[in-house]
Amino acid sequence: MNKIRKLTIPPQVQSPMRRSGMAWAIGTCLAMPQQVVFSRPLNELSSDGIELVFPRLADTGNAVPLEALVTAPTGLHLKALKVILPENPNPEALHLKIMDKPVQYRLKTRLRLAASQSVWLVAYFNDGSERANHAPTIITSTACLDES
Amino acid sequence: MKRNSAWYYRSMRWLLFLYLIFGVSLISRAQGGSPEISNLPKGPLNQLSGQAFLSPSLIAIQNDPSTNPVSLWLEQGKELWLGQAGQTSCAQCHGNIEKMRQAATHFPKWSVKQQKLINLEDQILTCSERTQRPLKGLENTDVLSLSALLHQTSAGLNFQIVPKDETLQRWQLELNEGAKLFTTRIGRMNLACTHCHDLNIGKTMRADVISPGHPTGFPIFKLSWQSMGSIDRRLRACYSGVQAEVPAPGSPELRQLELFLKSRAQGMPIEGPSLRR
Amino acid sequence: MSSPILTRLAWTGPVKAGANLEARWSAAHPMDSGFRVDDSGRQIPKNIIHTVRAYLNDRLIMEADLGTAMTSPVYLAFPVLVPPEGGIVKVIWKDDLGQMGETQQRLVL
Repeated sequence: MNKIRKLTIPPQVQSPMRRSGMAWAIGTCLAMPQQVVFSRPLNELSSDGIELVFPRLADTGNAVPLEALVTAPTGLHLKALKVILPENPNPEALHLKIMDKPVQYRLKTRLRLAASQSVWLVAYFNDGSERANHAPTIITSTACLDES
Repeated sequence: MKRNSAWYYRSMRWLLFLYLIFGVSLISRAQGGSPEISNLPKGPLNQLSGQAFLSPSLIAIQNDPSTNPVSLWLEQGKELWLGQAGQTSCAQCHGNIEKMRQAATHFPKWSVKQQKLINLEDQILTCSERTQRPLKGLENTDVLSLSALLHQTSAGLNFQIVPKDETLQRWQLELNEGAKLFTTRIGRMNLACTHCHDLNIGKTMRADVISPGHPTGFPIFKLSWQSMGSIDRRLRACYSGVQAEVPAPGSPELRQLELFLKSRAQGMPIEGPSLRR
Repeated sequence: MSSPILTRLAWTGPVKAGANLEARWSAAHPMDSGFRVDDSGRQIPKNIIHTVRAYLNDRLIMEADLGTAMTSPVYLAFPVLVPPEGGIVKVIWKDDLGQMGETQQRLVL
């Protein structure tokens, strides 16, 4: 005779803590650091016209200076720039929208890097095209624990 | 079987020996420090201020007021000094900031009223209680702004820690205590200040290069804090660095150490608020 | 309650009609990424400047969305084309707590 086992929820799982586990799991997934999605892989884009000045060896991961000089291809002008740090928990560092119609744009800023990586600068032009360039850096760590 | 295993262990030992030799040579090469970070001048290092331990890139940021983060606090300090119409301000009692040229050089001093050593930030807090906007906390933005302004005003002058005759004995006791703290081992690392800042100047710990620890650049904008901070905060960070119990802000040992450090730095000019890693 | 956010706006280069100046803006905002913990082990909530807008004579010339990778103090240098009549450059910031700030400088020819 086949014993049909009734599927019962064991007493341990019935506790409120366990039920809220599902809610915690969903919440954590939603709270995950942002994902940046591009139409094409960045290294497939042309890097012409984008000059980056970024230290090869950064003094500190807390403030790494970036200078970018972007020149639009002939006939086009710049619409926006994006700075991406792939190894950071939130990779999109800056999204700068330009209202005038410049053919050249010089941007300077300072970034916080979580780890040694390449910074990517993506330039968007008025015809919908994109260009991207990158520059690598190694960040150096301080030695002492600072709890001040 | 037995012969095979003996050969195996002998060859493993030999390989381990080779790895150690190779490893040790790598470590000693790494201790040279990165050329981009460590650009120290040749010659005695114990009279160098923290300025000499900055990379060229950080010096460039510091020299340009429009990129130097310290400018934000300096400008705030200038505005606070003059104050707002209808409210008591520093300028009302002390006059023009140029009249305070010597002020930052005299601290820490023994306060007869409070019966303890006080530094410039303590004095700013005490002064602010006489205004309509008393400030709270040594690391308060306004306190640091005024400290930055006063240190900038004294830039180029040497520390002039000269006690008044009637407080000389007490002052001497505090200085002795500071010297004792400087040479006493503390923390899990069981190190005294002197071990690093006298005996190992110029050596690298990861990317940090050990400086003599002269207090000429305070208050500092430390990039690892991403904020301005006082000497009180930096000394507390030192305690944390050797994994010792961190004293509370304003503790007497921090003032005693400050007094000792400034006496040790006699003859070195104040640099004004500086940028540090 | 919270201390004021110190800001600074300056430019490099002589101010002449048609000149392309480099405007340098910085703000001493704590830029808490939300990843740090305080002494008691509690996570410090995220509070960064998320939007910066630059206006030239009340016309929007630049709008930037900032992420947690921007350092503190925030530092941004961008070009400003000086119009023939001069004018005022205004930079506005907004943070996650809803705070706002404004800095203005006059372009004096």
